[in-house]
Amino acid sequence: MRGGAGVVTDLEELRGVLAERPAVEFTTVDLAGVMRRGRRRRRLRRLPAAAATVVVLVGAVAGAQLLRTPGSPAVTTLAVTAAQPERRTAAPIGEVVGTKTVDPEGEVVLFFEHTPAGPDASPYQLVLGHRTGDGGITAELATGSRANSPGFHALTAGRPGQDVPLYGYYSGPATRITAQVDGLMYSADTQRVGALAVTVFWFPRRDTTVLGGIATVPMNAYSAVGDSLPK
Amino acid sequence: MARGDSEFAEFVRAVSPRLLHAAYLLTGDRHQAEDDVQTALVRTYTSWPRIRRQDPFAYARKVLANHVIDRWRRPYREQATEDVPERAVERDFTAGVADQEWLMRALAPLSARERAIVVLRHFWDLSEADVAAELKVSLGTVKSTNSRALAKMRVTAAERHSCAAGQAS
Repeated sequence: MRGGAGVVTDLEELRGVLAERPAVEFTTVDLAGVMRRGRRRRRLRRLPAAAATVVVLVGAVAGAQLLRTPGSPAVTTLAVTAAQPERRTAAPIGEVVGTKTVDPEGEVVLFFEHTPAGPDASPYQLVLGHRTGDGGITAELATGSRANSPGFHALTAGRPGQDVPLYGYYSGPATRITAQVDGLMYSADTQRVGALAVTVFWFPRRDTTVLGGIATVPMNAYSAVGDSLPK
Repeated sequence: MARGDSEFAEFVRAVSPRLLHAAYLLTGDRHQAEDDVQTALVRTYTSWPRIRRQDPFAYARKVLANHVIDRWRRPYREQATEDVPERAVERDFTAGVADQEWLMRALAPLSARERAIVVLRHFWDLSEADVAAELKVSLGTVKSTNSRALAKMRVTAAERHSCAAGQAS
């Protein structure tokens, strides 16, 4: 009901006027700008935690160097390795893990090969290759590991648009592997290689935009009961 | 685009018209409304991994309302008054003044909090308890502020209960 002077006096009518479309045209929300500023805010929020992580990592690396022979390289499991492409016939040990990622050369596979054992090197390396149409296995990207200790190893960048964006293996009882980028968590596909007591993992192609070409990435490993495992 | 980002983009497409509408009611200024919605969405995106499985729309609405109130708390922007206008803002139908123009003039004398409570209560249709929770004020504050705001607008506070029967009280 309206008042005698033409004034809105009724609450329901006020609600009706509030619901009316405004007589102005709004510009479209700048989605890219929103997400860019949001990511910056997330990074700023994480700064204290990141600083603490750096301190811990630096301490861990320094400690590891003290325990090694002089001149031996430090181990960092969070840096992504860029393997040199090659193409040869593979000599897998243990099972060949199919990633269910298929391209014209066949299914992308991951497996292990023996490497010359050293005092501070793993006796095997992780290899990415293809299972070809005739059942053969090719080796294309090989990544050795400087240690055989529990934790992440051979974290390697795939070839964007060709195979998987990121892969590696975890030495220990991991059943779930995640990467965290811009505050978002990405889960890897995993398969246990029991013969070596390791878990091979790889991120599917749909994560290439985020993980492809990345130089370092925070990784987490979890046991079957959800406990966080050492990196 | 990552899954979370795709979901957020879809969320923005779905909610931005209504958020812009609410921001315009809260500010009375188109450009300010656009800036405030942009800010609310940035904060929503910042917390997206945490809130995406909860109620992101409620989160964005809450951020928007509180952001507008916080901005208006700055002294140079404060336009609040406790006084009820001597004369109600008249709605000039004969001159063809649009409802929106009347509404903007009626909302203008309200403080930021009064305006926010009117918008949350009568535009978003939240309960008084929900308004209190979103603005982190007491239920009594919501009730008294709502009454004062409606009085300033010369709108009777008695609500009609017409939902089912279509009858007005």
